[in-house]
Amino acid sequence: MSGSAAEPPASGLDRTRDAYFEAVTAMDEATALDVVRRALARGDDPETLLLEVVAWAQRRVGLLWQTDDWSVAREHAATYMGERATALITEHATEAATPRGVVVVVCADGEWHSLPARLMGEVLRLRGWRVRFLGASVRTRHLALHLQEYSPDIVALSCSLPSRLIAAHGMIEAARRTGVPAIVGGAGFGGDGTLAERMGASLWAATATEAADLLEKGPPFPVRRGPASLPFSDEYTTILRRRKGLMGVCLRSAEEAHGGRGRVLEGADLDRTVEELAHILDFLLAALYVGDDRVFTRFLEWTRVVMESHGAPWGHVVGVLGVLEAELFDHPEAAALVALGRAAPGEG
Amino acid sequence: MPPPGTDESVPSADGGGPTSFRSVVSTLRSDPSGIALVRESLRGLAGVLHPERLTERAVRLPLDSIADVCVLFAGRPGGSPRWTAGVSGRENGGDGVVVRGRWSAETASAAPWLTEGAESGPDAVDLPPGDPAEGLLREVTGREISGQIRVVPLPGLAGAFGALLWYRRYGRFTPSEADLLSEYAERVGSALGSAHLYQYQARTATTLKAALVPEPLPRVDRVELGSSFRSAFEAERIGGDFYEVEDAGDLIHFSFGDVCGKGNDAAVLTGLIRQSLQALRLVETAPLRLLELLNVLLLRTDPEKFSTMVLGTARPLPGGGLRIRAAGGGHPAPLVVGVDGTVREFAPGGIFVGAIEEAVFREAETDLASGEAMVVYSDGVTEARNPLLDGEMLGEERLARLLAECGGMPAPAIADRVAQAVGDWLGGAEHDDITVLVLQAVATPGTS
Repeated sequence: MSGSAAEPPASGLDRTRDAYFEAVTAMDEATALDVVRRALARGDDPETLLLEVVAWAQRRVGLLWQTDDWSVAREHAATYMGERATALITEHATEAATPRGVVVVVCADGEWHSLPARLMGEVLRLRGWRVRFLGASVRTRHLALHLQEYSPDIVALSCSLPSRLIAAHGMIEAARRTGVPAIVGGAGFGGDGTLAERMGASLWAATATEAADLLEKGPPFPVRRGPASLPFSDEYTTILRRRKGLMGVCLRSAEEAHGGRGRVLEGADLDRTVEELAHILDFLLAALYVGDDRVFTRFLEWTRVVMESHGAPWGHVVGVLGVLEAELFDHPEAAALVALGRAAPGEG
Repeated sequence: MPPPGTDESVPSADGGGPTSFRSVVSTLRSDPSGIALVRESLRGLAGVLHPERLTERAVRLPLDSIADVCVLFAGRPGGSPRWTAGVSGRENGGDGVVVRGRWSAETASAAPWLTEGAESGPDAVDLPPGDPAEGLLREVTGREISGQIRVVPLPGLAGAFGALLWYRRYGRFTPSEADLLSEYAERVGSALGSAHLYQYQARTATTLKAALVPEPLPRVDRVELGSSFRSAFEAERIGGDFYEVEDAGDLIHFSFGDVCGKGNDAAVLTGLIRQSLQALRLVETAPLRLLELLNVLLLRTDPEKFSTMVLGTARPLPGGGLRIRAAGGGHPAPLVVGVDGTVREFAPGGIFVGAIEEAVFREAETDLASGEAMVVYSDGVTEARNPLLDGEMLGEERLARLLAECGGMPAPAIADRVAQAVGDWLGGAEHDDITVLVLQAVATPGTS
């Protein structure tokens, strides 16, 4: 089913992609939607348009934001165009021949990138599933209530940010307790199913197409019997408890660093620093929780690229990591991880 | 008498027909740990509050380790009971299946054990030969019956009856297995009872919540609308934020407010205000006069109850842009974001609505240029507390700074951006209702 016969020839797809992407970068919503409308009128396959045009463009937007100093406003506007295009494609699509079960699609609590989940939900809808999309950043409690009330065949959970994996695990657990299996995906889970399995998910999919193909084998899907044994590291819990204190220490060091240059850390700069520090702590905690160093090191590599392309000094982060490492002397696993994070990006 | 089990087939949640499953219990039968395993997995039933899913789980659990077929019957006195049968993969030579069906009242009356045990408590009994359950077992297994059938009534189902049946093809149930059946039925019965109660409560709560959730925004020519509504409902603290937008042809009406208090009282007041506004607009559309009328109405209903409010109209201007006319009642002043990221306040002022008889309100007017957006928000946004910073509030200054980065973004993206920033600021902490409504003059007149 994935290799649909209606798939346009590569050149046609390329033209659609380029035209769509060009309109998105120009923040020209009318033209972007027009490109999609014309492709639909030509009879292009809706699933291909969703995945090979909208999702493809969205990935490029993400890269541009990371490396090309796109403003937040521009990224959000582009994402919004993706949402509009998705809606347009879904409205146009005809109902699938085989009706299937019910899927609840959610983003992990604190995960605001909802377009990937939305796109996957729409692919499932095209394949005949009844899809309930609960949206971005869903509270675990909200999901649990929803599952008890509607008892879907499966929950599809999306997590793009690895720092939200802890929340994601809580949601997989909530589903398991109500007897509902979970299929998970998104960049947060990394490049294979290891973390997904460790976290007790029934299925893991790398792409929306793969998710749809996997789901076509069921339902019902097996649900793990007992809870997954997480957090992975014993140090997680104590560090979580010390989170606020660690934040204070790191913030003071950042303030001193500013003071040393004769500047006061305040206003928007202070907020940005707090946000960055919170991210560092969140990713450190997530890495300890799921037991995967790469959750932390990859985040730092990514941050380095963003900071350098946006002209922010990477040295600040290295300084903070040094403070954090010293502060965590009594937590050897965490300290080693921080040291690893401090060293790894420097090699690149 | 029609053959048992074929009276009426009940479609399952996924469209009917037997559903196959991979057996997750692989312990050999009559291994004593089979009993331990079933007992252990019984705990898993407690977390399931959806009756159908619970039933399906209950008939699957004993399979392979204790029984070859497990059937759960449930019905109301004099009615036709539903049955759900879990059939072990050993019986049909493949994956196990769950099959559903219904008995006619007549068939049910030939099985006195279905209702008789309801009061007497869960004691397992053997079935007399010729019982309709035999026919059902023949049907779901496709084979003749041998071995032993035990049934036990399900206690704990208010106003209903139910029974659990275990069938083993070879040999007989041991006394400890028979005890387990009774214990099993007791747990399943009380879990089912709770599940039915929960569904009843959940439906009530859903109805209430549905009345609180704002209607989807209309699609209006030349006005781009965006909103975000993240209710504190999930934290059992139903707040009282509300907004509505109504397309009246040449202009749109909007209102946004936050009623005093929490919980059900707040919910009722929210409903009252929304309905009152709809009724009042039939006779009055000028924002100031509308607010004055609402003030009188709320005072007469209950002087203890009041609300903050921004109430107004947005009218597209001939040369592009929007004219906003609004009256305020003690609500945080909306912010207007220019395409270049400048942020200004639009303050209609005023005092709480429904609090004082002599309240003085006023009306203000402002024009939005093409692409400019007016952001109306509730205090849940600015009063969100950051747990990492000793509970520091987000505040108006931060909100203004955030909006300065949103110049030129479409209205829905602005609303999402604010919700996201507040969510990040909260870092997972509990919160009040977080509500944002954005009205924007579309950048290019004529497009929608």
